[in-house]
Amino acid sequence: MSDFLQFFSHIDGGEIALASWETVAMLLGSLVLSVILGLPVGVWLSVTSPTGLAPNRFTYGVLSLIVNVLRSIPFVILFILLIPVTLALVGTSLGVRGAIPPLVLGAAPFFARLVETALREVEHAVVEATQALGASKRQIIVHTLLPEAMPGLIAAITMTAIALVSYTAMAGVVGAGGLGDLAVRYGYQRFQTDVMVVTVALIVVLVQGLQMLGDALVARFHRK
Amino acid sequence: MSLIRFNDVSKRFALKGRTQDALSGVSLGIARGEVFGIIGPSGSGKSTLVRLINRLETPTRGTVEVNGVDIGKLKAAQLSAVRHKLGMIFQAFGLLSSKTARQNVLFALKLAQKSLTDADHQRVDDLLARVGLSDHADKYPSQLSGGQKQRVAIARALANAPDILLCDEPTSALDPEATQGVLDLLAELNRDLGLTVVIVTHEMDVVRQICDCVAVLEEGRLAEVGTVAQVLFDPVSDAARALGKHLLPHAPAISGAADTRLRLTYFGEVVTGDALSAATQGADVRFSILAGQVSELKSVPYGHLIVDITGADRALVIERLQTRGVRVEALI
Repeated sequence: MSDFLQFFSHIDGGEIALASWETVAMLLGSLVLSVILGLPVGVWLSVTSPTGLAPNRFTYGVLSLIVNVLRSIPFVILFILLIPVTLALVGTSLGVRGAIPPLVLGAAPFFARLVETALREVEHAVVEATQALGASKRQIIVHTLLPEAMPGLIAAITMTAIALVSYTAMAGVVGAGGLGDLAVRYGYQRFQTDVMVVTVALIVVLVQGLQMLGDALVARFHRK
Repeated sequence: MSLIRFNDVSKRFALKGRTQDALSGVSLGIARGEVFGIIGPSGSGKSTLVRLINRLETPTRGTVEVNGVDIGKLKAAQLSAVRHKLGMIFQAFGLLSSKTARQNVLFALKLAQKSLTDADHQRVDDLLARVGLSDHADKYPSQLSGGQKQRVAIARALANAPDILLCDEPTSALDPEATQGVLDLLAELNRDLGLTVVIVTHEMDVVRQICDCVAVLEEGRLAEVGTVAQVLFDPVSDAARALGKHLLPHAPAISGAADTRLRLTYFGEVVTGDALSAATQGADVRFSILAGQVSELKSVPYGHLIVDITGADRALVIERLQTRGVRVEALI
C-alpha cells in the first residue's frame, strides 16, 4: 500500500485539476466553433457534390481541396504554421485561447467531411418525396436532410470531439497547457511516470465518457 | 382536353460517359378523373415518364403540360406551387423516419403554407382516418408495416388537396394483401374525390384492377395506348401481349381439332358460361370448355372462355352468341 502511494508521490491535485479544466475548456470551445464552422461547409459540400441537390463541380472542387489540404497537415505543424494567424485573431498563441484557432481549423474540415458523409446517407427516396411535395432546396436541407441525418451528425460530433481530445494533447506540447502539457513536462521531461499515468488515465476517461454520451444520443435520435 | 399531355418527349441520360435513351418521342394524353396506368418491363422508361409530370426529371426534348401549363417553363417558386397540387407516392415510401405518421402528413402542409391553423390539424386527422390509420397516427415509420407506410404516404400526398396523384410503383414493395388494400384505396380516392391517378407498374394485374386506360412502354417507346380492355384483349404490340399473357386463360395444347376452337369474351353482368348454355340450347353441337376465367376490369365483370364447338349448328351457335353481345374469335 505504501509502495502504491509512493509511486504517486509527484501527483499535485491542484495542478491536475487545472490541467483537466484547461483540456475541457479547449475541447468545448473548439468543438462548438468547429461544429458552427464545419456544419455549413459540410452541407455545402453535400449539396454541391455530383450526387447532391445542386451539383456544382467548381464549388465542390474548391471546397474539397481546402478541406483536404487542412486535413493533410499534421496537427502539430498546423498549430505552428498558424501562429501568426492565431496572434492576429486572439492576441496570443499560448494557453487555452491560443489553442482554439488552430484546433478549430484542424477539426472543422474533418467535421465537414463527416457531415457530408452523414447527409449522403439520407435515403434518396425521402429527399425525392420532399421535392415532390414542392419543398425548396432550403426547406429540403433544413426540414429533411438535417433531421434525417441527425443520428449520423451526432456520431460525427462525437468523433470530432474525440479527435479534438488528441489534438488538445498535442497542442499541450507546443504551449497550450492542459493534460497533454502536464504529461510532457512532468511525465516525459522529468521522468515522473506517475503524472504520465494519471494524465493518460484522465484522457482515457474523457474519451470514454464522450463516446458513451455520443452513443446514448445517437440511440435517442435513431428512428430506423 | 387532356389534363396531362406529353408532346413528343424524349429523355436521354448520361451515365459514366455513356448515354442511354430512357424515352424516345412519347406523345400521350391523360384525361381528368381517370386512373391511367403506365406499364412496361423494368428499364422501359415508365418511371421516368411519370417523373416528368412533376419535373423530378426534365425532358431532353419535347414538352410536358399539366392543365395546359408547360411544366418545363416554370420558375422554382411556380414549380413548388404546382407540385403542391401534384401528389406523388413512391415504391420506397419516402417517409421521414424522424417524424411520426401525423407529423409526416403535417409536414406536407407546413411546406406549402406559412402557418398552420386548427383546421389544418383537423385535416391531417381526417386524412389519416381516410386511409385507415387513425390508431397509428403517433407511430414512427419504423413501427409501421409496408402497407401502412404507403397509406401514410398517400395521406401526405393528399394533404394539399391535389387534383392529380402520381404513383411510382406504389405496390411493388408490398405483400399481396397490402397491395390489394392500397389499390382499393386508390380506386376509392379516384371515385370519391375525382382524383386523377397516374400509376406506374410492371404488373398487368394492377392495371386490370384499377385502371381505365393504359399506356404500354417498351424500351422507351410507346408501344400502345388504349382502354384496358383494348390493351388486354386486343393487344397490337408484342409488349402488351407479353404483359397481358398470364392474365388470360390458355388453351391446353391438345392435338387435333385446333381449328374448331373459339375465344369468347363478354363484358358486363352476364357471364360467358350462361350465354354459352343459352346459345347451345336445342342446337346440334357438342362443345367443351378448354379454359376459362371470370374476373373484373376495374369494377366491370368480364368472362373469357376458350371453347371447342363442333357440330351441324356451329354457325348458328356463333350467331346466337354474337347477338347476346359475346365476342367470338377463331383461335388459330
